[in-house]
Amino acid sequence: MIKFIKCFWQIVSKPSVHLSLGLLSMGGFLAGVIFWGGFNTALEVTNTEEFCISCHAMSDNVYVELQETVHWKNHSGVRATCPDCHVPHNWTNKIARKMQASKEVWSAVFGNIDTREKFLAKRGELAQHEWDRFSANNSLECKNCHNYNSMDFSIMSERAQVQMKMAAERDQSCIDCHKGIAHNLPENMHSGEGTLAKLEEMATSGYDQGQSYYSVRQLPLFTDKTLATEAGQLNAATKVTILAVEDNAIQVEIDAWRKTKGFGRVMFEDFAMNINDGFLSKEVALSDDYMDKGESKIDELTGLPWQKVSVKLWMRNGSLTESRDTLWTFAKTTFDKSCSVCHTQPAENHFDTNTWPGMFNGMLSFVNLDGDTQALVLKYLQKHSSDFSDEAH
Amino acid sequence: MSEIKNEYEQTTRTREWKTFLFITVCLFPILSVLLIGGYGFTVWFLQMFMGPPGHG
Repeated sequence: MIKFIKCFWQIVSKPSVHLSLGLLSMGGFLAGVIFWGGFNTALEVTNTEEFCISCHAMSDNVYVELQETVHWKNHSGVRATCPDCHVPHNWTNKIARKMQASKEVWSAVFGNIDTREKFLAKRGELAQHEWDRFSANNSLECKNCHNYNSMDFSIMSERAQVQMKMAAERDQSCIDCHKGIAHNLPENMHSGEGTLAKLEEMATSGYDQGQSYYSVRQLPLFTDKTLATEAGQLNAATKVTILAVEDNAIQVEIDAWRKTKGFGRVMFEDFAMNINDGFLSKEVALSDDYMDKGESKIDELTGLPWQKVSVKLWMRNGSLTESRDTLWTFAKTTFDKSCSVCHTQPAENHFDTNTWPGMFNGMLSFVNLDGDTQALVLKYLQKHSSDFSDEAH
Repeated sequence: MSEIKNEYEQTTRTREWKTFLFITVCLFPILSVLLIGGYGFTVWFLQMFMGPPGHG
């Protein structure tokens, strides 16, 4: 072997005796042209959608999901292929990404993600990689096509205008708000399973008669202790007083106000304040069997008559906590985290109690909050609004 | 004498051809691919420490 290399070096290091300079340079030049052409062709071939979906993890999962979205089919007839969004366009990052893909080739060869279940289990992690990349490069791959300067705000819906103008001003990264625009979101970003468990953890057990507790989430109410007939729903973070404790059921009293126009199904925490305490079924709301009616007052601002009621209903034993502090802490964290992604979040006491629901509901489509968390955060905001804040605003 | 020289010339000629073809067809293309691949890996590893590619 050493002898071979020595012999090779002897020939290479000396001017050639038999091959002309013209032949050598011509041969080298041609070989170079062919190599570079071949290299680029290989690069192009691995940058096509056909190549991407040649493995099952892609073709059976994300590719199918893409076909439901506007990036697949739309009125302008332009569509995005896999590499448009997922392979950097500048050369250095592209080559680095191609090398990273060795990991994906490995995974494809050894079938690490060969079933839908395995893919779903991995989706969160895989999505996070892409989100990190998009966050770091300010959604460069989106902006290769979408340009803030070319957006016609006047033909956007009013709600979109407000958001997009603010985003354009700061050249915001698209992925901040548009996660899940081309593929399904990871499961726990949709359902409340993750947060539900967290909320349930805050619940205490063993309730004393006559004591007051707060619901950790939205809970069903029933007419009697068999828990057979639903009577309505108790909202999150709502105060109840325990009247009786059976094995699986507890009887609770809810002190609330309701508007006596219509059936009066919705319960509110305080007079003239739209802080939702839950709702009653029509039968229960119309019946006198489940509630004691108190004073009636007219809210001068709206002209609506309000009535104090004390509702006695049954619910499942559990999901109550002694104080709202832990619930508020959780709500505040969620509010800070979710609502600062697209804009500077307003202070809790920037709006009054009855303004918050409209503001909050208008923003819901931009975040991934489940129903329980929504209810909790809204109640947190209302209870910390300017009506309850000592600071003058 | 001239016959030996002829034979010697013949072997060096084939050796030069073989070496030339080996270099242009195999060695340099492989080295180039390794070099570019190595560069790609280096950038990837740097990204692991310094975060994903930014904009600019």
